[in-house]
Amino acid sequence: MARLAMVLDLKKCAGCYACVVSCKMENGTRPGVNWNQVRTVEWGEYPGARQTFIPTQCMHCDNPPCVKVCPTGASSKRDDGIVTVDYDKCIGCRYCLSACPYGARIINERDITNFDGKITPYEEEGYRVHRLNVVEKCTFCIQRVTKGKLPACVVNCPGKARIFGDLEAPDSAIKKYIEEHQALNVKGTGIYYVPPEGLDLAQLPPELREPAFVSWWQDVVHPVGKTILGIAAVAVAGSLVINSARKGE
Amino acid sequence: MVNEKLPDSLERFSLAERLGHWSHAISFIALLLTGLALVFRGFGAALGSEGLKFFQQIHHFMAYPFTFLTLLILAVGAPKATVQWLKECFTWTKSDWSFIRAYPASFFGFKTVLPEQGKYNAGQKLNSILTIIGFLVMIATGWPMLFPASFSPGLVAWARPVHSLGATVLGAVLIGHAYLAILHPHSRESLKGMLKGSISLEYARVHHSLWVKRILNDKRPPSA
Repeated sequence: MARLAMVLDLKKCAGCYACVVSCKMENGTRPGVNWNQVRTVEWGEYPGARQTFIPTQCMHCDNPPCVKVCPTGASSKRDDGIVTVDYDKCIGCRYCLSACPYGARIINERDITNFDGKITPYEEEGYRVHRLNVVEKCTFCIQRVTKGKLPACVVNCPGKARIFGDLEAPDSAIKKYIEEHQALNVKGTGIYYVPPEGLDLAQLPPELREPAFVSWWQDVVHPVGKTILGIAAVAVAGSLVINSARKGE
Repeated sequence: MVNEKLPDSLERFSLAERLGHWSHAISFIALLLTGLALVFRGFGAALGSEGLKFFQQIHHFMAYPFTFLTLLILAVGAPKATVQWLKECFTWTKSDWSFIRAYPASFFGFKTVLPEQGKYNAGQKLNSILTIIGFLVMIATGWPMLFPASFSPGLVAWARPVHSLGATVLGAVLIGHAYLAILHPHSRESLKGMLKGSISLEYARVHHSLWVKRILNDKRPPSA
């Protein structure tokens, strides 16, 4: 077992967007499709005004609501903690888009390229993987991580604000970092933040709470619906049996 | 005095009414079968992704005839009969309630006395009401899922469980409705009314005696 996770040290983040750019370069996503974002937060009055940057992305939840609602099993949680989307299985039903509390998923339906009417060899390569009408999101750069490399956003962060690793490995560097810097876990997810002094913690992504419609749908409507259909079928079968038995009398 | 000859059969549904019924029936069954696969994972997994994608396309396509075709047929071909049907469905008398109470025993083949019924018995009225309400719920929750960009994300999210629940309730109604019309020994003749348009006088007298009395009285010229 493993639990891959990421620390975002906001004290070190300079808001340079190298993570956003390197993510697009590594993953070859379409124009307008970003798997990670950087949000700017400001507080205080001059001369004590402060500013910080909060990078966000797929949180790789412990119990991902997106996986729970996926009708095909395209979205799944790997043993190493990564939440993935199998593009071959995805039918683009958007259930997961509604279910994700962090808005981390995106479905690209528009066939747009970087240059009008032209497609670069780089794009050709990227778009072969990232088809239209399937759901995409951050994969922790699974293609790199499974080869022992770090995610592109981690490698390319000039401030070294991103720390990636396995929480369950012996001598886990990320675990040490979390302890030393008192990183806060967004509960229920694989993401940690080191907040700068004075930041209202409510600005960070909230701890994982399954949206109410997901619980209602999966835990109430599914069993109730099956029961209703079952009762109707049993009533009809019972009527059929009794009526044909009486006919024979 | 005119020598009255009673007809062998009575016209029950005009061609437009029957077409309206079947356009709803066919589109609904297609939507139900394809929709269940999009809800219950076991069913969807059995189809595989390509199969499920195909089901999804059928589901989206059938939304159009389901929503518009039946309404169009009824509005153009049988507006008066449709209004009359709606009026009757939403008018509940004491005898309707006692029919509902007495009917379960009859359904399972036990002898009971059912109160006299009009053109639609209380069970048919109930089926109609559930179908109408279900139709409204399904289109109100279905279209937002098909065009999520035009609706609020919260509405789209909650449309999913409501749509699924509505589908299973309507599926149960359909199972009962189809069984009574096709197989149940007491009522299966009623299917003829929806296929040929007419039912035998004998069947009508037993099942819809108030309706028979009314139309035979209407036909009889008033005696001076």
